[in-house]
Amino acid sequence: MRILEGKNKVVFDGTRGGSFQIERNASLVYVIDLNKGERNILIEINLKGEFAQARVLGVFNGSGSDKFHLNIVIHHDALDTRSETLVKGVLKDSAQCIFSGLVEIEKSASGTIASLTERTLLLSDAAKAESLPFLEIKNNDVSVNHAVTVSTLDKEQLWYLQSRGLDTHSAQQLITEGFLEEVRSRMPKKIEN
Amino acid sequence: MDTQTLTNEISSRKKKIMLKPEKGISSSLVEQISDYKSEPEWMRNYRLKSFEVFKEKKMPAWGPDLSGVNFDDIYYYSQSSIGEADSWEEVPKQIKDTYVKLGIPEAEQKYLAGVKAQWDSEVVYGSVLKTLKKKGVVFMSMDEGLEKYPDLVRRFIGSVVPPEDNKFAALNSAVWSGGSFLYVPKGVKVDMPLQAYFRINARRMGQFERTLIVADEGSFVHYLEGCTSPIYTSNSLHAGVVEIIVKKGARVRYTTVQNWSKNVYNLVTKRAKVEEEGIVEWVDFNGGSKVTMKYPSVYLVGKKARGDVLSLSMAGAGQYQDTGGKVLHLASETSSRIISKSISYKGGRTSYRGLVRVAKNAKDCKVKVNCDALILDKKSRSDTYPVMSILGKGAFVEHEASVSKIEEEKLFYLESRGLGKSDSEMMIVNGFIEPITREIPFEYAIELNRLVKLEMEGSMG
Repeated sequence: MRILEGKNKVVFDGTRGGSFQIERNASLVYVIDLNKGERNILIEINLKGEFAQARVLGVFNGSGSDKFHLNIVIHHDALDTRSETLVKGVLKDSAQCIFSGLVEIEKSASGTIASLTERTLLLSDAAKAESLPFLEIKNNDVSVNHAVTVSTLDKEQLWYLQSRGLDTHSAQQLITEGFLEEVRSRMPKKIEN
Repeated sequence: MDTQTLTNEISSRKKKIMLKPEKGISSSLVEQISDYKSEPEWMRNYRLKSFEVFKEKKMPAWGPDLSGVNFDDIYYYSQSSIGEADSWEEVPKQIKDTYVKLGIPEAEQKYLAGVKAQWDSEVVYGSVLKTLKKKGVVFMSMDEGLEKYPDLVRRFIGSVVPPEDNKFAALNSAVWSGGSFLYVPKGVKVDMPLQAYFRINARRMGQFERTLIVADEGSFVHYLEGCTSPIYTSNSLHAGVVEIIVKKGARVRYTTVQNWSKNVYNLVTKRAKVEEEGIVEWVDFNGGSKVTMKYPSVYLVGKKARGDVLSLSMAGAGQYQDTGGKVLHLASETSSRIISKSISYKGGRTSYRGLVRVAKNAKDCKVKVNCDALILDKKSRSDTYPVMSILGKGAFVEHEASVSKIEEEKLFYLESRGLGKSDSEMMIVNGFIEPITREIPFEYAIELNRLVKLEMEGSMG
């Protein structure tokens, strides 16, 4: 387990997962970018000090028989802590992604603001998205949201791009890139491993 | 019916009691129940088989703690619903007070408390039944249904909720008694909500009631069970099963208003199978009981079928409401919506537990899930456990949830308009639950709002 202290913001590249304890005023940004193979990632974040913050930004792009399993547990255990999880991904062929998230808010964690969001685009019949975004909340002074969407390509967007002369494949690619860009654009450039 | 014949009727019914009620369950008790009801051989075997399943099945390993359920300390069958209080004096004061506050007449209070059967209303309901009969609608107790329509019952019972489904469904299949049997013929639309006590001679809701609703092609019916007043019972387990079959183009709405007294484990399996272009709507309010585990389910098996689950739960001191909904999209172009609202207060705990599955061959399905929770104080707790498994091509699935307390800004706004704090809070709570209460028949909705207010008294601020 890594313990983060002080006012510094620390950024991790999360292809390996890990567990973190965030002390007072410290903040963590965890970046996930998955695009091949079978990956099983477990991230545990414990917001232990006042004003501790964590942000998990993830993208996945699966094709063939890729299989991703993302397991994110965020534990709020101090006053005025913040967490944000935003994961977006695209699945082609028979790729699969299981997303299990858990946001736990203890009695001690008054003033918590937390959000958990996952959005998946399914681009084929055999692609499979499974989502288990759980919340356990033992304090009423909180504001917690979660949202999950699973959808397919927007036919109107496709049609528009094709009417501008793009073929189906490039149109599809452009839309998926745009879809993932929302997360990618927020990822910090400098990453510590 | 005059008083004399009424008394005679009641005493003749009392004489019929032959089965000596005993606590605990065994295969010989299951046989006795079947014998006593003079059931056909297949039902007797069905019960016995289900009892075997019950013995093998384990208690659910998830969700609320059920260690307080003692299967040996429960009456499984008695002609005169033994779980009910024998006299008005036995009914706890807390429950009596609630009746008074809800403004329920004394005769009705006694009925609700299980002391007295509601004979007086028979005449009124009799005329309702006559109209139904003309349309060919069959509406009777499940026991009577088995006697008069054995083929229909045999065909459908267990077809949506088999005994193997879970431990409590198995238990119900072994010892069921009471519940409703409702058949709506092709194209018939029943234009008023049917309530369990419309049935002549309906006894109070049993502990192990079994309800079967079959809506034939193009028909419509709204079935309503329960009431806002707390239902008192000394028996601590309620394990009901409800099965609904919605044929092509039919629509069934099933409304439950659950307010069991706070010693009851309410473990209910409710499921509907919906064929092509059919619609099922579950409207589910859970306010009572100690522990409730209930997830009304919808199996969308025909093209363009639709299912809605609207659920509202309230948990106060010592209560755990584990509720939600399940929808399985097994055919193309099916759609569903789950709206769940919960309020926890005075140390109560609510959970949303939901499942949405879109199968591989189900194309262009639409799903929308909204679950919102209000936590009114520091002692209370709220959890959200949704599971989504999406495979179908062209699926569009949305799930949103939020958990919060009553927002300060909203309170401030209302108070600045001259409302007192508790009125402001109540107004916000009423606004929060409005998407569900507006789906409940008017007279119930009013009572429900009153009940919410009563329960919340002193829990805010």
